[in-house]
Amino acid sequence: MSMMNSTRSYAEGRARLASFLAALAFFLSAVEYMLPRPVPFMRLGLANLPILLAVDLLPFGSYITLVFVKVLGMSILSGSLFSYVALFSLAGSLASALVMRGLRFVATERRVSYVGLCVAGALASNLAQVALARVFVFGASARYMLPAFLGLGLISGLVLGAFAELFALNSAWLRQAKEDARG
Amino acid sequence: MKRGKGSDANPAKDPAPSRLERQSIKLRLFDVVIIALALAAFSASALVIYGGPAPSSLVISTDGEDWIYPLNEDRVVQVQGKLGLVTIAIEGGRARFLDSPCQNKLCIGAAPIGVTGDWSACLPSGVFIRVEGDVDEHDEFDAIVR
Repeated sequence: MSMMNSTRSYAEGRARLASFLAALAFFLSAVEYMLPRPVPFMRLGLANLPILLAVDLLPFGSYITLVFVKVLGMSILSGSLFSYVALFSLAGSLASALVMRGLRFVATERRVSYVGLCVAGALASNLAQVALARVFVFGASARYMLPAFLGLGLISGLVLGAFAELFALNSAWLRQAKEDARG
Repeated sequence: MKRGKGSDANPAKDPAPSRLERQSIKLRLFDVVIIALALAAFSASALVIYGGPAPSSLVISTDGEDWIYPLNEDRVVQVQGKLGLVTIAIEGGRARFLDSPCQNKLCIGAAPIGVTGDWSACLPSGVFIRVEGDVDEHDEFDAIVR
C-alpha cells in the first residue's frame, strides 16, 4: 500500500496525522483540566498521549511542533498563556518529549515499551518543573516537592504508559500508521 | 461482530489475533531499568524529606524570605506574594491557603498540610508553604550544607 502512494500523498497523510494528534492533544487538555489535582500544578499528563504515540510516527520537526501546539492549547484552556506558569508547562513538555524521543533513538521497541517511555517522560517533565521552580520561584524550598513529583510522575507514567501499550497492542490503526511512518 | 468486520475489510493482510484474545503488556529491559531507577529516586527523596522529626512548625517562603510559625497555635497569616496579599490559615495543626489573588485558585483547592515534609504552593504568587519538624535542627542542617 505504501508503495502505491506518491510522495505527495505521503506528505499529505503525514500532515493529516500531525493535525489529528494536535487536535487530540487539545481535546485531552480539556479533559485534563476537568480532573482534580493531588497537589497544585501537578497533572496526570493525559495530553501527552498524542506526543507519546508521535514518538514513532512523526519526523522530529513535526514532533517538536506538536509539543508547542499542545502547550499552547493547554495554556489557552487553563488561562495561563501569558503568565510565566506557561513556561513551566513548556519546559516540562519539552523535557519529556526530548527524553522520550532520545530514549527511542537508543532503544527500539524490543528494548523499551510505551511504559518505559512514558515513565521516563513523566519524570523528565516533573524534574524540569521542579528545577525551574527552584531557580525562578521558590528557591531551596523546591526540594520538598521532589518526593511528590517523583512518586506521582512514576504513577501517572505507569498508568498512561500501560494504557498506551494496551492501545498499541490492539490498534490496527496505529500498526498501519507505524508502517507508513517507516516508509 | 467486530471480528467479522475486521477480517472482511482486510482479509489477506490482517491475520491479527482476535480482539477477544487477551494481550498482556510485556515489560522490556529498559522498562524495568527506568521503573527501578524511578522507584529508587522516589524512595531516597521521600526518606530524606519525610523522615524528619514530628511536625512542629509551618515555614512560609516568599521572595527569598522564610517566615516560621508554630503549627499548634491557630492563626491567619498574610504574606506579600508576586500578585498581592496571600492569606494562609493555621488551624488544628494543619495549614492551608485561604485566599490568593491568583487566577486558577489551585492553591486554595489543595488539601491542608500537617505532616513533616508536606508542602503546598501557589505558583503564580510564588508562595511556598511547608511543614517542618524541629526547626533548630533544620537550621543546623542548612548551616552545614551552606
